[in-house]
Amino acid sequence: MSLRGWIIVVLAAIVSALLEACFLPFLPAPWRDIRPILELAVLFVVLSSPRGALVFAGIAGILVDLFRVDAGTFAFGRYITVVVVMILLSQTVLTNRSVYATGALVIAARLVDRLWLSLVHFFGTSLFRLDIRVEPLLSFGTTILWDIGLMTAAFILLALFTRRFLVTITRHSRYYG
Amino acid sequence: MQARTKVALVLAGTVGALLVFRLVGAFTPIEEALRFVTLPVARAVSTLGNGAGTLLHGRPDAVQLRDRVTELQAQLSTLTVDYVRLRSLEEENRSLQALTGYLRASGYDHVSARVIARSVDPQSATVLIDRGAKDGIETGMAVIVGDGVFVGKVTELKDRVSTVTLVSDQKSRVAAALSGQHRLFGLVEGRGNQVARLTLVPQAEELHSDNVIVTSGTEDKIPPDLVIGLVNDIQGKPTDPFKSAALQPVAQADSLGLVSVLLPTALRPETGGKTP
Repeated sequence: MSLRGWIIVVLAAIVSALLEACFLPFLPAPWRDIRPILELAVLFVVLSSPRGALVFAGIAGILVDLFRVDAGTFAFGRYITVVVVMILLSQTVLTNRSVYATGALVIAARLVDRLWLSLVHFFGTSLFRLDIRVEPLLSFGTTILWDIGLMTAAFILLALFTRRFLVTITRHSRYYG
Repeated sequence: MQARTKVALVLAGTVGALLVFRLVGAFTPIEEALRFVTLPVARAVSTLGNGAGTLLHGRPDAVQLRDRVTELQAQLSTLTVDYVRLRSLEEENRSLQALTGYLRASGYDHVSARVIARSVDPQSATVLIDRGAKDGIETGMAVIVGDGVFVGKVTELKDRVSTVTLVSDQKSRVAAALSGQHRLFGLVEGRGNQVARLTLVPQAEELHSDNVIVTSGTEDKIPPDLVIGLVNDIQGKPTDPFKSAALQPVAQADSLGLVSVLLPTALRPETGGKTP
């Protein structure tokens, strides 16, 4: 990845983490259920930049950990784990780069993220008596709807402006002589 | 073993080790340094978020406004009686306050703070403020807005930030008194979704709708007479040992931007912990 690419990754991580931790929670529902970090991380995976996705997840996780309100969610480890699972999925199961595969990938990311939170909630509260809360199902459902909508829009815009996902079909001229 | 599996195992081990280190607080100095650097940006972003939130909350519809007017008119008639009675006391109080100042008279100094993050879970009413242990804040201190409206207490402390658990949080418990009585009257328990209840009120005590509930002053670091909310709906049979009531908090958790943490004078950093 070029230097410009890395700068974009770092800036995107800082901006999305600050949005998720310090901006969006102040908005009323359903706006507060937007979670841009995982969406952008999945976008980096879809753009075939697994290293970029990992660095993005790491920086964003550290920043979210600094300004989190609930104790012990360990966003750094959570996001890195989710991105690693997404990279494996994108290389083994969801290998095509369509809008459907992108949607499926972001839903999978959100489910893995919730699984991680539920496990930390279970072990954290029973073993360490930590105050860790898992978001209600209604919020989670709204987040998934946002994920699908925003990822579809991002995918279409990327395809439109960068022609990144364009499948080129070789055409042979035929001679009907 | 495949290279991919190896990488996954190494990564899982690293993340696990980092999690353990973090739980034991090994990264605290690094976190504090990073927080110091990024705090101004977080403060600016949260100010923007608060402004955007106020805009997006929008205006209530006509039916809601009509109901609200009826409710407020009922409250006004009750409060008018109290107002006349309190007017004479206020005159006397004002002359005293002019001499000593509210904070000196109550023995409490305050630290102003900005809300920089909040919990998105409606059951959990917690916010993060941009002041911490280095500003003289301690766990258990009262957090107020405006002229002494109690919003919650400090429950978790870092060097430069602290977590405030608001009155409506499910884990919040505040010792309460009836305004003007100066004795423990009941307990205000948070129920989530910006709802709180006044509980454990002895059946013999008189409790009416629109009574003003304040802090009792029996808790360490929380002074008396900070307004918590108004009594709404009283519940409990005459045979029950205690009665309870729905409480309408005076401070709106949605619009919290600037708050003050009450700092007992004896705990001011510059006095070195000596009682003046």
